[in-house]
Order: sequence, then structure tokens, then C-alpha cells
Amino acid sequence: MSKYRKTKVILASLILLTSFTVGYELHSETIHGEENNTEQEHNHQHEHNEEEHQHQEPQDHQESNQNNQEETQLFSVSDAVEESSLSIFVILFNFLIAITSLYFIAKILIDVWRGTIKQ
Amino acid sequence: MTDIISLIDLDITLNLLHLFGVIIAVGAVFSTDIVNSLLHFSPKFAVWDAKLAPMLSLMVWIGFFLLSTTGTLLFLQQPHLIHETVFQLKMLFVAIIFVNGVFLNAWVTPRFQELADQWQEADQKAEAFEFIAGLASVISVAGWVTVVVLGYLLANVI
Repeated sequence: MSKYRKTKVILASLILLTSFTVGYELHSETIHGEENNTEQEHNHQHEHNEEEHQHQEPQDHQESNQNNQEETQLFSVSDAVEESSLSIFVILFNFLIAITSLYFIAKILIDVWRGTIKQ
Repeated sequence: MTDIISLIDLDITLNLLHLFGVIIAVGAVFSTDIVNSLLHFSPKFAVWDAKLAPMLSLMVWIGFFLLSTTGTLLFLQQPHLIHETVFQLKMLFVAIIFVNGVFLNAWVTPRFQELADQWQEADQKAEAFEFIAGLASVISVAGWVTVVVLGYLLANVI
């Protein structure tokens, strides 16, 4: 196996490893997000009860709570899959594009570095 | 301070990166086509085009990478979009330009590198190659424009 092919195989392996890591992180984020969401819902209910007693809370604080709630729902893969089984194809297809893009980016950069491309 | 925090808001950042991806990729696709059109009218641009093509390809793939990563995260925020016909059409066109992009990089660009030096002499070869490359370029531009229009419709109309 030539040095060039070896480099390409190493790069492809690195890209696959990265994508698996990202996928795993995304999965963990989902679980973490769901946990946070439950906690936040609980907190929100608690705050809501407090609001009923106090009737006055700064508007900025309310907005930040809403933003936090939205953020916890950002990367829920399970929600997307629950919405439609087609979602998994969209996610996987995007991963395929990302991996292929990384491959071509690396390939072009290696070609430029090796001087294979006309300069 | 609130304004600065809103600037680094994840949602805004993702949308901005997605937009950057569109700008980089579509800009590179249009630049490639302008350079290829110059080559069609004046073959002396062949060597110059061969030098520029890989750099423009690199930009398209950087754009594609940004679009796919931010696109996944944006989709996860709004999974209900999967039911929209416009979104399904957009993904279909993304698939077409992706396959076309792989073809352009895996076959057209290396072949062009080989032909560039003898572009003026290799008449028949160059003509056949130009037809296939031209067709792939048209698919690429039309596909990207359609995806941008559908993306705009998704973001602003639907």
C-alpha cells in the first residue's frame, strides 16, 4: 500500500471515528436534554406557583426561562424520530454529506500539499 | 450585555453558520461556472481553470460540510418539517446536488487536470468532456438555486 493510500485510509478512519463520537455525543445530549427538560418543567411549575403568590416577576427573567426551555429541546434525536421514521434518513443523509465533505476537503488539501494539483 | 448574549445564542449561531455555508458553496458554484464559461469561449483559460478548480471545489465542500452539520442540528430543532412537501423536495434536490458534486470531484476535476495541458489539441476528447462537465455544471447550478429558493420558502413563507 502506497504512502498516499495509507494516509487516505487513516483519514477515512479518523472521519468515521469522529462521526461516531459526534453521534454518541448527540445521543448523550438528547438524554441529558430530556433530563434537564423534566427538571426545568418541575422548576417552571414551582416558579409558576411562586408567581401566583407574588404576581410580579421581571419580564427578562421570564424570557430567559423560556429560552432555557427551548435550548433543552434543541437536539432531541428521539423527538425527531418520533415525529416520523423518515427523520432518521434525513439525519443519516446529513451525516453522509458531512463525512463525504470531510473526505473531499482532506483529499484536496493532501493533493495541494503533495503538489499533485497544478499550481 | 443581553444583546451580546443574544448574538452568541446557539439558534442564531446555527442559522448564521448555515447561511455562511450557503454563501460559500453557492458562491463557489457560480464562480466555477463563470470560469468554465470563459473556458468555453477562450480555450487559453484551460490551465488557469485547472489551477482554480480544486480551490473552488474545496470551497463547495467546506460549504457542504457547514450546511450538513448545521442542517442536522437545525432539523433536530424542528423535526415537524419532515411532513412539509417543500422540505422533502429540498432534501431531494440536496441529494441530487450531492451525488452530482461527488461525480464532479471524483471524475470531472481529475479528468480536467489531465486534459488541461492539451486542451486546444485534444478536440474530440475535449468536446465530449466539455459536454458531460457542462451538463453536470448545469445540474449543479440549477440544483443549488432550487435548494436556496426552497430553503427561503421554508424559512419565510411556510
